[in-house]
Amino acid sequence: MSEQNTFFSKRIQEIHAKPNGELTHSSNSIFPLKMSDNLYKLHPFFESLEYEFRNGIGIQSSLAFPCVQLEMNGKEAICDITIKMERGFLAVLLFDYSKHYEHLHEAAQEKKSSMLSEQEHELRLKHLEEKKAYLGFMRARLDNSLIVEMEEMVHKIQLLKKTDLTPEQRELFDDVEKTIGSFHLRAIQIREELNFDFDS
Amino acid sequence: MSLAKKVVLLGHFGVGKTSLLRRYVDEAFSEEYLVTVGVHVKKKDVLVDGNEMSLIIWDIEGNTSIDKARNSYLLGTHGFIYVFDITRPESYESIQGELDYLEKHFKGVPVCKVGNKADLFTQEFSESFFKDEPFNGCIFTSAKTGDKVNELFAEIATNML
Repeated sequence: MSEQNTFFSKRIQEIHAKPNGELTHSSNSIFPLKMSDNLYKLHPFFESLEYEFRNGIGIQSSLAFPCVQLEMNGKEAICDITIKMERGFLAVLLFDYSKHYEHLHEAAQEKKSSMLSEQEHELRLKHLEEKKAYLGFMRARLDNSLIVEMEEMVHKIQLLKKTDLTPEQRELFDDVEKTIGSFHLRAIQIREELNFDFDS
Repeated sequence: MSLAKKVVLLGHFGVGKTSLLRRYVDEAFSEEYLVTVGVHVKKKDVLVDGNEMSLIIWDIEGNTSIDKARNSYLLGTHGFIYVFDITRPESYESIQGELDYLEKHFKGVPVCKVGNKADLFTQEFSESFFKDEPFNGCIFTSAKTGDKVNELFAEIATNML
């Protein structure tokens, strides 16, 4: 029983302070404090709540602050903090859970790192899918809107070639055939390029 | 006499809240990702429009939404900095909902929106990606290079005056 008392008493510190921060009691089991210390000067955590504590705002029932990294008077600890306004004074309880939170931290670190890797993987997959869909869309547009119609044009040109053309018409026809042929070839090349996997 | 103001850093995990705080207060940066469990509270004294101000900055563990954060952590906040990671859509997809939550539960408390990891912008992916609502007025910072970090805290400090 006395061993348990010692175990817990070293890990729980009770502090009493007036609303103006003046310390009236400290069990000093975790952090060594002096009665001349002011609660709000001990750590920015308390300082940031000074207005609320002096004026009793938000402290009608007890406030719990889990896992607060504290460093006071040369000592560090990760504490759960409970603060309550008792009869005219602030009752602050510090529970030193440093070891517990250090283990928790390792588990949280693994978990969050895995989640980040998973998100990155999902983003990469999504990027690949959208790229594939876009390339497919562009290929389809080329096929339907351009290449098919050009092939029809090339066919008609071949038919026209077999008709009687004047020399002047023949010259113009040769230019048209050459140009259409070049466009057709380029459209096919673009479609082939869209088939190329730049990520491979 | 210095004016003490509580600022809370909010946002998903891994967006760079702790890195921003370390860059601002300690002028340090580490590439290593160390998850924050619970809360770290740091302080920096600054001069804002001739006024001495103590910025007491609460770096709380990342949450996917603010309503999951402990109410006690948010008690007495004078200003919020909502941080997202420009490279992770999950961290900014629901930003409007988060801002609405702050507007509803912390009316009148100024909020700065921050897109962190701005050193990862490229020519193809730049600030213009975030030009529309709800990102208008966003500050784009890099805790890694220090870019716009001081400006961010100067802005929130000014907004809290």
